[in-house]
Amino acid sequence: MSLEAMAPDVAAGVVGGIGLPPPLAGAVALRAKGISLRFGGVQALYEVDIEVPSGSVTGLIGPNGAGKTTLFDVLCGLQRPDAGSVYVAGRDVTDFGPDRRARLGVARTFQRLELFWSLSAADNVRVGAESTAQWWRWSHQRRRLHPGTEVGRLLDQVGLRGAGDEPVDALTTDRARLVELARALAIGPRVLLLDEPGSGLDGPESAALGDLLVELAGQGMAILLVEHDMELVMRVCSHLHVLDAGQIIASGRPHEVRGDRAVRDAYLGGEFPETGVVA
Amino acid sequence: MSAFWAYTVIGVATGAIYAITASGLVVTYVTTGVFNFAHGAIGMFAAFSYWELAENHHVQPAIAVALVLLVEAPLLGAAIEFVLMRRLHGASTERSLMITLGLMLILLGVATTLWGTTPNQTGLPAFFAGHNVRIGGVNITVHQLIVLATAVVVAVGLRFALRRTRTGVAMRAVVDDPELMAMAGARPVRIARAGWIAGVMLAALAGVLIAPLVTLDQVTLTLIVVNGYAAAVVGRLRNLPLTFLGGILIGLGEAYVVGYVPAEWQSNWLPNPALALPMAFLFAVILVLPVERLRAVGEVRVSRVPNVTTLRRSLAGAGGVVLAGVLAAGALSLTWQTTLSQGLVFGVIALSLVLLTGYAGQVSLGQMAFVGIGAYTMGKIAGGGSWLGVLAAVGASAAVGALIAWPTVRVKGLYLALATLAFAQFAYYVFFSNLRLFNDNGSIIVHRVRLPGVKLSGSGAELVFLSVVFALCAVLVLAVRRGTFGRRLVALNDSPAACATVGLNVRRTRLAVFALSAAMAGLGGVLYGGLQGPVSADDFQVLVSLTLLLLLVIWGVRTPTGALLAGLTMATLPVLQSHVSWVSSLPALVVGVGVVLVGRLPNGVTGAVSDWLAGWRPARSAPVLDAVVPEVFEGGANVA
Repeated sequence: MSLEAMAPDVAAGVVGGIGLPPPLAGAVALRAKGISLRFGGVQALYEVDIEVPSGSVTGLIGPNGAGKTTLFDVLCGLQRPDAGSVYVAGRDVTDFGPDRRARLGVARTFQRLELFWSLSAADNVRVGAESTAQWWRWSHQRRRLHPGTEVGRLLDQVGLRGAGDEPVDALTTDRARLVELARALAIGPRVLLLDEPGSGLDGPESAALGDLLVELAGQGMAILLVEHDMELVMRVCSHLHVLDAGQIIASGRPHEVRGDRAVRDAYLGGEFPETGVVA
Repeated sequence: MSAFWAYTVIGVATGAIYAITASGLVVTYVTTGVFNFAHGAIGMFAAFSYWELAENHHVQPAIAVALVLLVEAPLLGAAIEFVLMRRLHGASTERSLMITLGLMLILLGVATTLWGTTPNQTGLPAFFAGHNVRIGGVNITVHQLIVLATAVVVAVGLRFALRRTRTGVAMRAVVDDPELMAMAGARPVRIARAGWIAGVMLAALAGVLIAPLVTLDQVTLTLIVVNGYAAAVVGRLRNLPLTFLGGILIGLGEAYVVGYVPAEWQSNWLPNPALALPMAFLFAVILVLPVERLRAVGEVRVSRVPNVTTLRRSLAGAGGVVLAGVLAAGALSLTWQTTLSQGLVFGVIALSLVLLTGYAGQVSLGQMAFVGIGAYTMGKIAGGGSWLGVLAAVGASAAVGALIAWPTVRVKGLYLALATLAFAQFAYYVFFSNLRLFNDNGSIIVHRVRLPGVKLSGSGAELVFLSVVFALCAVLVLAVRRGTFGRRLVALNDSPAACATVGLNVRRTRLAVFALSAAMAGLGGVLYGGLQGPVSADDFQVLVSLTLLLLLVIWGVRTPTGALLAGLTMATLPVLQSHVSWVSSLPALVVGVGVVLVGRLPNGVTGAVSDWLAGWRPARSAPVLDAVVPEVFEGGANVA
């Protein structure tokens, strides 16, 4: 059954944000079909197909330079592909800019941090929370914002309780990453693209992040996770895509992918990491 | 027909000079990432140096040219790289832009001091003046032939140098990926130095070639190179063949306009068409540039503290300004009251730049044009002193600002800066110099705003009134900063890509802040006109805009305190000049040197002072929060 049939308002993409009825688990929230992209002489992406269902965490793994971040740029609209289409809840958004996609509920974080360095942690999140607010719609603004509570709740949720007043350039990189996560959550996303959120986290912190991702997915969010911490990936992902040299070389359940020969070869012909961090 | 060919020859020759200067601009830009706004001033300086040697010291022209181009220019280029640019490594585009603007003012100031302010009537003789060649029935001067030959040599030489020499190949590669080049063992400093020397030599060459064709006057020579900017933008600041093509097209357009636009038009409704055309061209080229892709750049950390002033503090600061205004009105002489009033008006204009440049990181090089629009509208509507006029002035400036920004906010900041420069120059030539719109002596009378129930007479009352207006504007600007819109502006400056991915419409937000800033500049125009009485084109020159912008950068571009100090300095410098005779153009020199000295401080002098004070303050329970409020808005009261 298609998403349109199950939840027409969600599929039409007219709603987004906190307070939505959770999209039906299992429906494809984000789909990319046949994405190809060249940078000069480099084929960055070649006919990439990927599906990110609501209600679960999908992993995107692959060696450095495989094109994971480039694919993220295409998915969130920062980069136009040469060929292929991107659908959000069944709606073709290929021609949409990043801001329009964000208003449809596509949020992301960045591997190389893109924070608002002149603002405090709370204000970083607030910019996200207020992004769809229009100044002439007071009621809308009040309903959505509650600056203290909403922003504070998000900071608590990612584990940054009490850090709201700190300027973000005073935070360590791993905590600054969490500010990006909170900012992405602030737009009330239906699709969450996370580019190595766990890098720099120690064991317990990484576990807490994993719990958070599972919890968010449980609320109906579709999460696409790029991560080198295989322990985290194996624990939270219910589906994996493996990208190598711009192509998807394997897709499937984590244990299936782990046994895939092509995947083992892609990781420098070595062993697929059972646990620990792939460099 | 022969007239057509004569215009064509003139056009190609002028265009060739634009092409030479623009290629220098491109070479510096691609190797160092710095768009050199001092390019024209360098050409001017070279032309004057040549004139000094050839005319005053009777040096053989060939030797004089060689001295200027092969000794002075390379030394100047190397000095610029070593003294000004090397320490800017890693600074933002706006910072380096400000430094080159400062260099431009320094060169202007030095040249004015050395060679006087009145245009030199004898001018610079053309090379082989009086010698003509006849080709196909058209007279071509030897000077024009030399220009054409030089352009060809420069074009071929640059192509050879960039493709066949080691340094040239490295210079091209450094554009593609500076980090990779550094890893591959290239020496960035050497490449940057080569880029500056080549750029300065080409600027000097163009200056020496063009000076005989125009008046030998510092400002004219400096600003004529803005025409060359248009050529460089045709080549998107990268492509040299397109840059040459652009130069020739502009030169031809200018010559045909001079030749074929009827004199009657020029005296009636289209003054200075030849000067305005390149500006319109520059603007048009920016319109057709492809949309800039929002790029995630990743971790560009700028050490700034969040600078949010609470309502209570901003009200206290505002009260301080008003109190100081009242005290000054009672205590100071008439002259000083007028000077302070001017300072407050410039302060309001500077506040409009705090919004635009300080918060949003967008640069306007022609803010005085919006001031002019405000003043003009005020003067024309309902007798020149009514509230209706104020509303119309603010509205008109905002509308024109939005119109200018609408097509330009989609490209990167440098092009917006260039577009504002082109607009301001265009407005100066076509609108503010238009005697149909202004009175016959080129001015328009603006009256002071008539307040209902309040009688404002005398300069003391005006000073108090203006300090109230400035205080209100400052409170407004700080309120904007505290609110949703202000957060968005700061966020947009830090990372447009991240803003877009949380759902912000980047273009619309930039457009809104530009219009808001223009509106406030328009209000500044109302006040400026009311203070001056008659205003004319010269009040709204680009150089005035640049001086005020740089003063704001010096004092602190992110705070109303900086705006107040910038305004007061702007008004005080001419007073200072009247007491100093050994140097002309003191304001330009002070501002130029100032911006070079403090250009590295992200929050200017006020920021540095408040950081220093914060270090002395006893530590409280939350030291981080303590550093969050380095605003010294109350400090403004002491200065006024």
